[in-house]
Amino acid sequence: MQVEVSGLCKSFYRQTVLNKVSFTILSGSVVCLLGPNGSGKTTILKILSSIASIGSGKVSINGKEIFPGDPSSRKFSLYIGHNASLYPSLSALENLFFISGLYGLNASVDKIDEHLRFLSLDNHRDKQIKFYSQGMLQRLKLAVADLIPSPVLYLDEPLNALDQEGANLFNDLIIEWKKVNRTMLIATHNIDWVLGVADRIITLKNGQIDLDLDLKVMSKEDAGNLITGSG
Amino acid sequence: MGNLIWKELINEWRSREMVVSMFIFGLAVTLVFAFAFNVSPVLFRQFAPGLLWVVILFTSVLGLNRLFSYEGDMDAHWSWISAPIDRGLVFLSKLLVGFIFLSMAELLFIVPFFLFLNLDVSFSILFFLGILILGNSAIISIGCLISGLALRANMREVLIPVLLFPLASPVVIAATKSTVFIFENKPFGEWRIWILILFTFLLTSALLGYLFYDQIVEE
Amino acid sequence: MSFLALRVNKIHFLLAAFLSGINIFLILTIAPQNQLQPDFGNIFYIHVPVAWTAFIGYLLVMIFSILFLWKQGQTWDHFALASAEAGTMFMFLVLITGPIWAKPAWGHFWVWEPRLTTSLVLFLIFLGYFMLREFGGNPEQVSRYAAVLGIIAFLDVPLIFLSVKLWLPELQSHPQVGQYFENTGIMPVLMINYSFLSLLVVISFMIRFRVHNLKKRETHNII
Repeated sequence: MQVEVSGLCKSFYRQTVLNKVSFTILSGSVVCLLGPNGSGKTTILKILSSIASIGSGKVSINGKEIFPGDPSSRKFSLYIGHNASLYPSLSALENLFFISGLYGLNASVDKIDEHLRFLSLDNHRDKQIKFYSQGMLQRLKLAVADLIPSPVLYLDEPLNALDQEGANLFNDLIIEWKKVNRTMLIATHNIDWVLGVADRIITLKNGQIDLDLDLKVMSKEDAGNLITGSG
Repeated sequence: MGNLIWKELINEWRSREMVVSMFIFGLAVTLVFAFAFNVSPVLFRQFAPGLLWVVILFTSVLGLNRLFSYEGDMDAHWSWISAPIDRGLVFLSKLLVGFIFLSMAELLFIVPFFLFLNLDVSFSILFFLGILILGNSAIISIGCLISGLALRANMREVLIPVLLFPLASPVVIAATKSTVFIFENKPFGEWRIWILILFTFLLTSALLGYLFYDQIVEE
Repeated sequence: MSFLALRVNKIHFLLAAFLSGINIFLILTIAPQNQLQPDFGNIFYIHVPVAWTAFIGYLLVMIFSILFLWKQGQTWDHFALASAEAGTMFMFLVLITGPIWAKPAWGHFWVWEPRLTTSLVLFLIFLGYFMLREFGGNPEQVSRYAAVLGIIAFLDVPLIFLSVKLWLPELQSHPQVGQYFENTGIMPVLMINYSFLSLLVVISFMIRFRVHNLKKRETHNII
């Protein structure tokens, strides 16, 4: 599904965080957001997933404008945040049950097990997630993203705390998700990784779009040089 | 909705924080009252309804604080804020669960309350339970609304009681009055109006909470 | 540009000042007195209109809050905050003048009379309202929180009033007010009181509104 953002502005504590940000993500493409801390990456993802209200501007998914307070406008997207966004006192299994219920799926134990096994969490599925390590939480979040088949996926720093094996699993997942035409918007710091998976890279600076690079028409080296050059 | 309630119940079952802390707090306040109002049993009987509702109001603040603050751990509330559900339902589930927890804690400390204050039970238990249910739900419904408002405040612990006590004053008056009438075994017709006030309050605050919760939770 | 540089504000200000002079003169001289409440009872001419304007201030808070939630304009939020401030200032005057009147009339400074009690409860709720505004978190969100609270607060008024009234039924609601309306010459004086105090509430509202607007402009310029 195509995501369109036009003229998005947002302020927090009377500070401008986003200033007239506009871009369009084509259906099924992987777009990465790069930028220093506080450049507005997380805010964009939170607005797109209706966690934060739209200051001014317009956001639409598949041509349909999303409004705060309209549950149907949250139907197509899933947000996997910087924090786990899961309940610490619930086990992995219960958390996944809960999330799948929120999206009206009511997944069976077998199905959840399958997703947990893929990320090798099945041995810990009945443990309360407050006892999880950061890396395990990160994997659990990927399991959530895998379990909920939303056409649009927003990921905030998915690589944080992932070990090499976890990162490989994540890359496999991205390939799987691209096959089913999932649209992805990923905020991260890791330039090398981004150059490997992205179809397009958007860099942010002080709440505005700095660079917008389409990796289909330019080489990875050029893009990498441009990004590091503008720093 | 069932999903949301189930989540709250499991969370509480794992920690038992709310019910236990509310119960112990209620017990402690009862003890302080017993010391502070060391008067004749006859007078105590007249004070008792008021004291009871003060204890309930105080303990509810404790529970409300916890009921909402644990959502912020790991940003857990973002899961349902971004999900395609009617966020008003989250308010209603909080209301229901908060009511259940408060009532559980209350059932535990109400026996010591009667024992410590030497109150004899010569009134209609059924009416008494009824007024407890109604009063609790009215307090919790306005309390959930206020806790939602104070969710991101850095002075939440102070803001909740500061806003709750004056806003809930009709509930305290109505519940206390009805309890007085129940203790005196007066016919229902004499105090019907108080029940009406409690119902109106409950319905208005639950409705407002359901309607406004959407606006409240978004950042 | 200062507040008084605008002509409409200047006229408004002068009119209010002029009326306040007339008002005090009227109350102290020709306002009809009540047989049962000599001299001290004349505070009626301030207390009652002040109470009315305070309640109207809080009614405006609710109306502007609804408009804010509905239309999402920041001006509505400033309107709501300014009326809350003006209303609370007047509510404070109610709570000052009430006891001054109650002491000679009833013998106590504080009587749990329904109107006075409702005023007190509302006043406390609005102190909480300002705390929420100050400490509630990010200002964009707090505007929404405050709007919701402004609506709840006013909807709570009838219930508070009713329950306080039934709570102590032996306390009549303001017998003194009724006594005044037995006088025939009361209306003209009361009308002047009302118009003066309405002007005062409007002018304090406008000053506060301007302050909020300037504050906003200032913070935006810094960034």
